[in-house]
Amino acid sequence: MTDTQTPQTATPGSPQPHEPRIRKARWTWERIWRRYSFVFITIVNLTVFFTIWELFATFGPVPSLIFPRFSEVLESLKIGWIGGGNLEGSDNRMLADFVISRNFWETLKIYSVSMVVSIGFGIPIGLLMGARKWVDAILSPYVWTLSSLPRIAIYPILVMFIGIGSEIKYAIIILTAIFPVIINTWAGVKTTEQSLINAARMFGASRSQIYRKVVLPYTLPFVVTGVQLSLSRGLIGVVLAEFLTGATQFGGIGWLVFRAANAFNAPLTYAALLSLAVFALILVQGTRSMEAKIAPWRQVSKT
Amino acid sequence: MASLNKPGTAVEKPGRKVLIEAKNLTIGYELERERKLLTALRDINLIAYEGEFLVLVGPSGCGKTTFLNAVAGLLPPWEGTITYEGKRIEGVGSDRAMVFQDYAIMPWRTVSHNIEMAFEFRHHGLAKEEVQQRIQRTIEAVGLQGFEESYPYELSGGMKQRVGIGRALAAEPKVLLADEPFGALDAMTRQVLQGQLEALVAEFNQTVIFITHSIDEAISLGDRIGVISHRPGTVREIIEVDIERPRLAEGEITSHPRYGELREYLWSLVKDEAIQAQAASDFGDLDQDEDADRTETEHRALLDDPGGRL
Repeated sequence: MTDTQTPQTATPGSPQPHEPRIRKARWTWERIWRRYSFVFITIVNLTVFFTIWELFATFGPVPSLIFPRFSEVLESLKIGWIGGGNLEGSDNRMLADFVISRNFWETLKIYSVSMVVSIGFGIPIGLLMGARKWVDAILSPYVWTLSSLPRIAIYPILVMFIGIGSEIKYAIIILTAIFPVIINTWAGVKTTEQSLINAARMFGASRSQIYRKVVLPYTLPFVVTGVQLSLSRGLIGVVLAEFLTGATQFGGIGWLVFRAANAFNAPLTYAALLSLAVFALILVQGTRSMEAKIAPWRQVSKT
Repeated sequence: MASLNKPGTAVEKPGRKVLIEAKNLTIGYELERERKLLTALRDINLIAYEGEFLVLVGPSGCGKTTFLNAVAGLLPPWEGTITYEGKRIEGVGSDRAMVFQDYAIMPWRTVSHNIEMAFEFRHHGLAKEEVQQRIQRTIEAVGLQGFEESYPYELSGGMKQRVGIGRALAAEPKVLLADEPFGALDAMTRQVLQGQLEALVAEFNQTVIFITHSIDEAISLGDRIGVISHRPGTVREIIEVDIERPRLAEGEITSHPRYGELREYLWSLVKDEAIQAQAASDFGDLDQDEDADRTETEHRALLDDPGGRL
């Protein structure tokens, strides 16, 4: 559909003899509202939420030791991310310039490395399990057991083997995140439509061509779903691992939440938590559009 | 009533070249989970002559698709032989192409990229530009100009099947195998596509083996119609459609005087079979779930590759 209409033809009320089938609708207040009301409502909503928080913390019955004012949280966020805090002499209880950002980068580093490993190994393992019966037979008891077992239960054993250094974080995150990738990839291979495979065979595709040109693209959306699941599972894994780590400084954002709460620094606890929440939100929202980008054919046609 | 060709009399056509021949063909598949071997077709003797349009009709679940898969080389026979130009069929070949009931076009490929599949996996000795020209010509032949870069999810069912037909015809195979290609389409689209298929086949001069459960479709398209009995399928009768071509290009074939006679006769044959097949499934025969089972079994058969043909 080419878009070559002139502005005149789009004017309602003066129908041209040959109006194009698809025209641009003009902006009206109603259309603006319909399209942007969500943004507007969100802004108002959050403003009200944080105002009530501030008022409740200031005048409410909850002690500020466990429920800080939002302005204090903002102050901790500022110092924790961009520094400039005048903290000399005061009992800052873990609050320091860049304390949030440094811990955040630590978390991000461990998380990304673990995710790369999970995805990088999970996909080929899932593909092999789906494609080769004997690989499936050999690996499936371990995969299904480990994926059903609450990962925290093997923590003591992991500690015995690798101690409580930062290596254990990688181990926990990978063990949490790799199984959704394996299982979804496996499911994709297993459910590849027979008629698509038959069609490729009919046109002379070899076994390896069938895998590369039919099974693999068919499996791609499943892999995307697996990766999405794995990213959010990995996030649980990273915070869990940081709670349990024995680090004395820069143990990650989860470690900071845990330690700040132990030190009764409520503003810093909330500030670290808020940072984590925003990161998780961006991550999850980001992966939601991933499938539409990677596998556009899975979209139902929209007009 | 004009004399109809009785069973057997239309089978032999001494003057014409036999292209595909099934001799005492018995074929089936294994229902792995139930540990059962299911015979789909028993003792089939059938000939497809060069250049003819052979239609097979029969009740659902009678093994028509199995026969087509055997001709395609996707399923090996249990007993008997199936030959192409006198040679046993032992796998797929560039001389045969198939149109599938559920289109079987790749959803992640554009229309032209889907049609390119016909050239992708085999040595064809054509230059790149030549392949592109052939693809373009095919797209025009099936009436999909302007949709070269569209994805299947942007197309209607009829257009998807045009892609399927185009892909099958693009490399100009000698034999076109069609497995109820219009079964999932609405009546109007079906009629349009039938006419276009008739014209295309005439243009590319193909031998066609076409499966359907529609009597009207069989008479509209077929030179000869083989009636397959219910499971295990055998060829019950072959009748010749003596209506001149082109039948669907203009006018209504249904108003042809022979049409009604053929339809009535064919229905009398098929009705029996349909009733018997229905009765068999009512009495707990394997008919009901057989399609689902077969797909799964064939799937496994493919992934395990028993014959090493992959």
